[in-house]
This record gives sequence, structure tokens and C-alpha cells, in this order.
Amino acid sequence: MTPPKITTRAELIDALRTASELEHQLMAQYLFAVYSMKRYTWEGLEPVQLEYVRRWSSSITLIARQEMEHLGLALNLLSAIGGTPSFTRPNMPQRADYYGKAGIKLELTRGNLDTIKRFQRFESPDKLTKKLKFEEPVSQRKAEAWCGKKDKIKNRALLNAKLMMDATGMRAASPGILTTSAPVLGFGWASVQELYEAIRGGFEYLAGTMGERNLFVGKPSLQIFGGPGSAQQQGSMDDLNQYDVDLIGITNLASAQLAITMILEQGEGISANPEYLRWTHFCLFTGIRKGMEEQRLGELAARPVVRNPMTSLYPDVERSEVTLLTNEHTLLVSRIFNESYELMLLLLLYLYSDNVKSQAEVSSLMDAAFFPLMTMFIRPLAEILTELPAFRSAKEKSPEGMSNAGPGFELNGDILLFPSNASWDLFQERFDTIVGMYDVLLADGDPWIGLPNQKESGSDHSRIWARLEYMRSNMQRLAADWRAKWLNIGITTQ
Amino acid sequence: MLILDFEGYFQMRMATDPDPTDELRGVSGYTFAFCGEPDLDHKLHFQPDEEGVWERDFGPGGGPRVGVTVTSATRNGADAPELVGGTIAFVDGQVIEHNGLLVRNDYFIINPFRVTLTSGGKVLLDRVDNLNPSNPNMPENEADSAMLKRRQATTFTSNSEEVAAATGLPNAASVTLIQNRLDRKRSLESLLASTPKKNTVKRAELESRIFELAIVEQWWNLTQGTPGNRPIDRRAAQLALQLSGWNVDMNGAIATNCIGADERYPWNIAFWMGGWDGDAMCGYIRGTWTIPLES
Repeated sequence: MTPPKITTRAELIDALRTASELEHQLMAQYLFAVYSMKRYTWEGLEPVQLEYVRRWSSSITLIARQEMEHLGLALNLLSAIGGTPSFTRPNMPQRADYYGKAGIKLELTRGNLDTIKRFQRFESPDKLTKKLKFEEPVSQRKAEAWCGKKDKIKNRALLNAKLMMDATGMRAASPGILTTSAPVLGFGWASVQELYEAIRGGFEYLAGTMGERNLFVGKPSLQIFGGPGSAQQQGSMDDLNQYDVDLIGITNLASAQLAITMILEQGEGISANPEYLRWTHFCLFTGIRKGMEEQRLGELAARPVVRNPMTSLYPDVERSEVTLLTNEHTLLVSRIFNESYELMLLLLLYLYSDNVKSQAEVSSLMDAAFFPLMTMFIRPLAEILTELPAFRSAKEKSPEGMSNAGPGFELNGDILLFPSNASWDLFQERFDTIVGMYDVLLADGDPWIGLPNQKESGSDHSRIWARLEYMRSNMQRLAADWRAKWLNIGITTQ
Repeated sequence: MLILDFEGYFQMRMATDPDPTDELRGVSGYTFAFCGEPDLDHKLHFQPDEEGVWERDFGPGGGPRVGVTVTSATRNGADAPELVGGTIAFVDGQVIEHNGLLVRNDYFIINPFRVTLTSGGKVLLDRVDNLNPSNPNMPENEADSAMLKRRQATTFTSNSEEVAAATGLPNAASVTLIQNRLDRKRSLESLLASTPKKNTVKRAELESRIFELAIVEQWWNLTQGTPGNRPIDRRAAQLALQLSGWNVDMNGAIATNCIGADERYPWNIAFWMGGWDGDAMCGYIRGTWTIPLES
């Protein structure tokens, strides 16, 4: 069956919104899995086993960061053609055919072998999934052969020329693809690769029919990217060599094609230089799967974290697929996580919006959203959650025999812009609310001191309490800086 | 006036962005506590025998060794050779920015800030500096801009020839820095080849370090990383990155004063740090401690 083709701006906007939602969902699933992985020798692993798990965790966080990059690129592509960026997505889990025949099952599961197999399929080149049944794992033998392949063409220019010829030939072989239109409602693509190739085809078709000037009508200033032409020249978002993230601005067909090429290179390895293949998402997951099988760590690598942990039942999920958290203190930590996650999305949405903001405000939004909220709150809260009991009773377990909580990435509806005139104050309320939640949580003594391996020598508190107290102090600082409009940050440039 | 020039390699086993700053093992940054190694302690260590130092093997190519010592000393303009070779310490100091929460763009402060001079096994000088002299116990997260500025570095210099000369690099060109990391990788591969198979912990550590050093080249193979447009990886760039301008008039309590320093005045310390080797988790410091003497 011919995949949907894109011949109108509306279809391209729909497809890009789907792509950005999908990248967001993949990122959350990868992060959930990696935060569940074991970190310490007291968790039952020998040092060498733990080193394997650490390497896998490093690879998955790299992949997750690049999914953030892909989300940013999809939003830039969307903004460039007049679409409105969005961070709305359904809660997890969702049914397996939510993204049609692509078979991308949305659920939050711990980082065990089954989860890695699922991720490997998400990132698989089309070629390796064409004959597979729904949700069937990719053949590991074929995956390793794909990742180990060597191309005879060493010259990059020749390689690019060959790839362009391949792409031209593919289009010629499917003359119907770009000549008739089909609705993009629903998810008609068989894979992520197919979706992005359709998007690339849509950009090329529309640039050809309406002209680039008419296609790229969005304001470049509404995109987030680094480097020349960007307001964030000092940032590190245009530099793969710093944080593995390279956000580029989209202003014409060439930059749109480059962004899509980057996504497919980094993910599935489509058109990637053979020297780079081993770093692609697909090949990294293939390597992790191989390692887990060889080291027999498929079940031992991850903490006993329940599936799809939630603080409450949302209307867009099935009760039978959700694990409702019941431990009082875990629930509060989980709510702080969800508040922090939602606040970060709100800040990002405001950054992408057309609401008037000064360059200083943009810098403050970036400084709050990109570094501290992600790295100093969302990540450690998620890690802590996978160490905490999910249930009120320490003896209670999920049907799968799991007992620990995890970050649900819960959203209580759409992520919508604050009114422009009140945004700064409404963000302040959000920061202050989170500070208050930490206060409530930590006012109740140290309920985690009795958990195994939590007490550190020389301290009266558990490790978890100490981390949460550190976060409270940092959130107080963030809230105070927001209130003071970032006057107390010392030297920032030379 | 007593003037002490000091320099040498320090170790700081700290997590790096985008790991959170209280990370103990390292996951998403480029510094790690590998298998068999203790947790990251995030502290500055100037001497190899300090608790928390963990010096790695580098193979035949060698690598930095921890030790910050006094290289020259003058007392009221006259040489004070008895102090040369003395050791300097920043006791329990941490290089702090809280991932942009406390200070932005890596203009780090060092906190707590307590400096000692030891010679012949005896501590001769020991003084702290307080972010807020009127409230020495104030948490760093409560510091205002003026307090932070007193403690911050002021200037970044990429490809610093001064750093390259101090650490023994032929020069500070990016190609040299990249080659240094590739040389280290080869040296570790050689070390791995000579490490017995039964030493699984050591081998796992070396394999991970080799993997990390290989990242220096990985992005070059992407479309946007074509030859001629190869931004240098931070693992290499920081070998010649210099952060300078730390200049602190130390204002706090004096625990030890065995050389007749005048306690009525601040003791100034000025220094730069740079040459960060993420594989060794070591960097280079060079500075001057200027201490008024009792007349």
C-alpha cells in the first residue's frame, strides 16, 4: 500500500505535528527506561555488570537527548511553514495501533530486554521491519549485519551523490507518490522513517509548486536554534560536540532537507556514513540488546519498576494498563515531578510562541527551561522515583511482581500558552507552587531512612532526603531568581 | 609581603553537563566513576595523598599526576627557598555552577573556599573566605550578585597557548588537542591489550574510557560534520581552555598562621584553571597567593 503523500501545507503541518508528538513520546519512554536502570553495587550487580549497565544508560540518555533535538527540529520545521508548535500528547499507555501500522506501542516500561527490543524496533530502518508482525522484534542477526555493514564508497561526496541517485530512483519507481493527494488524518505510515521521508517529499513538492518564499512564511525568530543568525549564539544548541544536540534554523528547502537528513541519520542510520552507523539510535539499541543477552542482564539491569505508574487515572488511558501509585510520600514526589515536567513544557511553549518577549526574557526562559529544569529537577526526581515504593504496603507488588514507582510524565490535558500580559507572574506562581510542594514533602521528617541502603555514614538522613533537600534549595533559588528577574547571577559574559 | 607562586595538576572527580551536579557515578556527561572506582566526590584535590583522589593508569603515553606546589616564594622581596616545594590545598573546595542555576555560562565559583599552605608536614597557613562575611554559614544558593562576582572567574580563553605550555602540549591548535585525545586512546588500547583477561574490572574500566575517547571523532561522520567543518569536541577543546580571573581577597577566619602574616588584612589569591583532561579528571592551576606580613 502506498504511504500517504503530502501535497498541501495543511497536510505537511499535520504530519509535522504528528512527528513532534511522536518524538516527544519516544523521548519520554527512553527516559523512563534509563532512569529505572541500576546505578549502585548494592542493587545486586557486580562492578563489571554495573559498568555494562552504566554504558547502556549513557547510550540511552544520548539517544533521548537527540530525540529532544529531533522534537526541536520538527517544531522548527513546523514553525517555518506557519504551523503552531505544540507539546500536547496523550498520556501513556496507549493502544498498540495508536500510530497505525508503525506499531509504536506507547507505554512506560523499565529498562529490561523486552523494552530494549521495543525501542530497537522503533528506530529500525524500514528494510528490517517490512515482513514483521505487529510488535514483533527485529531480527537481531539482521540488525547486527545492518550495523556492521561497510560501504565501499569512502569519499563523502561520492556517497552523497549515490544517495541522491537512490532517492531519485525511488521517486521515479513510485510515480504516484507525489502526483495525487491523500488525507494525513490518522497515521498512515509504516514507520518513523516513512513518516520523515513523506515529510521531506512534502517539503520538496510544495517548494516546487508554490515556491520557497511562499512555503517558508514563519518568522525565523520564533524558532529555537543556535549559532549564526540565532539569538542564542552563546548557547550550545548548535553544537553536537558539546551535548550531542544540534538545533538548526529552518528558512528554506535546503535547511529543511538538512534537518530531516539529520533526524534519519541519527535515528535509523538512513543515508548515514558507514563510519557513523554504530552511533545511530538503531545500532546503539542493537548493541544494548546484544550486551543484555550475552551478559544475561535482560531482567537484572533495571530496578523492579511498575509499568505505567500514575498518580491518578486520566480519561485518555485504560485502567487495566496503568499502575496507580498509592504510597503517600511517593505520590507527592511524583506530583512534584509532573509539575516540574509541565512547567518545563510551558516554558518551552512560551519560548516558541509569538508572544512578545525581550531578549533578556528569552535568555531567562532558556536558562530556566533547558538546563536546570531538565537536569537538576526532572532527571533526579525521576531517578528517585524508581527507588521509591509504589505502594502503601511494602509487601504489595504489581501483577508482574514489581514494587517500585517511576516517573509517569503525566499531563492533565493540553499544554496551553498563558495570556501574554500575565505570563511572567503565572510562571512565578508555578515556581512558588513547586517550592511549596518540596516544603510539604520535607516537613514530614525523613520517611526514606528505613529503606535499604539509604543511610550514609556520617549523615542522619537518607540519600533520597539529601537529594530532595538539594533540589528544594535549588528550586528556591530558581524561584527567587525569577522574582528578581535574574539580577543575582553574577558575571555572565566576559 | 609574602608572595607564593604555585602551580600543578589538581584532580576534581565531578559530574559534567548534562548530568545533575550531585550525580555520583556519571551517566550523560563525559566524566564517570568507572567500575572499581569510588563515587565522584566533586571536590578539588591538589595533592595525591588526599582522601578522594583516584589516579588512573594512562598506559605508555602517560598522563597528568596530581600535585600543586609552591614554585617560587619571596618574603619582602627576598627569596624564601624554604617555602618552595610547599603544598597548596583548596580544602573541600568545589567548582560550582549548579548547571546554570547559581551562575550562568560556566563562570564558576569555588565554594567552600579555604586555602592552606603546608611545608615539611606542617600546616603553615590556613584561611577561609566567606561569600557573606556577616553570615559565614549562609548557603551558597542565597548569594547575591556582588557575593558571587567576588568569587567568579572572569575570562575564558580557548586554545590558550599559556595552558598548552604549562601542560606540555606542543601548541594549543585544535588539531593538536584532537591528536592528544587520539593518542591517549591508543595508549589505553595498548594498556588494555596487556591487561590480563582475568582482570575484568580493569578491562571494563579501560574499555569504557576508550569508548569515551572515540567520541572525539563520531560527529564528523554526520552530514553537518563534513571535513572542513569539524567543531572540536569538548573532550579535546578543554585541554587548552583557560578560565582565568579568579581574584579573591580572602576575608574569613584564620585557623593557622605560622609565618607572621598580618591578620588584619585580606590575603589575596589570584589564579587560573584550565587544561582540563576529562579522562584523567585533572586540570591545571597556576596562581599567586599574596599575604601581608606583620611589620
